[in-house]
Amino acid sequence: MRAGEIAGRPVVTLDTAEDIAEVKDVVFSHDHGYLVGFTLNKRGWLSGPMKETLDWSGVRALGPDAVMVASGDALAARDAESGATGDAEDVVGGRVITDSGRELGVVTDLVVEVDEQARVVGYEIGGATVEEGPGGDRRYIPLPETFAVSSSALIVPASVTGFIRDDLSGFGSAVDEFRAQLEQTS
Amino acid sequence: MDWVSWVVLAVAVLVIIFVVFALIQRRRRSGGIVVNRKGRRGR
Repeated sequence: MRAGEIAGRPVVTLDTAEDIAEVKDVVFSHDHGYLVGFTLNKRGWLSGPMKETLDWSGVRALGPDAVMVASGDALAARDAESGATGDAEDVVGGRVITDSGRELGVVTDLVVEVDEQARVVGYEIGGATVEEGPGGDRRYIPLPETFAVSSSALIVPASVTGFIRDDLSGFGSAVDEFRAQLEQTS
Repeated sequence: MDWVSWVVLAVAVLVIIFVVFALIQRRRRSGGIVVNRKGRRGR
């Protein structure tokens, strides 16, 4: 799933089926790109951001239409880990460059794999350097298992160009193949 | 000014206040994908 799709989803409690908040920011850790939590908006078009945040450990399910939590207690006061603090940086717009010096595009979204944890496995890229194809002007590039998510330029191995996909179908296997190739060469 | 002008002026001021408030709220509500330098690894 794309991380950008999570923003705006309602946060619903399992105990009372109440719609208690709405996802504002999707917050990832700098190291290894784990999803650590969400900052929240109050419900309603004219209401503002909430002081509380939702830590990933409080999420029971991350569905296509809602983020499910056990109860309203899952929301906690904003902390340095799950909340977007003063150190938080926007990822979208960062340049993706291969180690051979070729610019692949700019980051437009993150591709997230969700199981026990939610983790970044790839970047959606766009921009002037991405040519229009059958799937539009967006491409998906897999990322190595160990990398740091950054808002500045992202350096990827040049071999990643062979694993770039036009859409998300089959992207999971592209990630596995790319990582297997990196392991073999290292 | 007659009372009609006062009413028109008052409505105009209220509309401007509402639009400014709505724009500020929209900006405050807009989210994104961020990286926290203090973030920890998963659960």
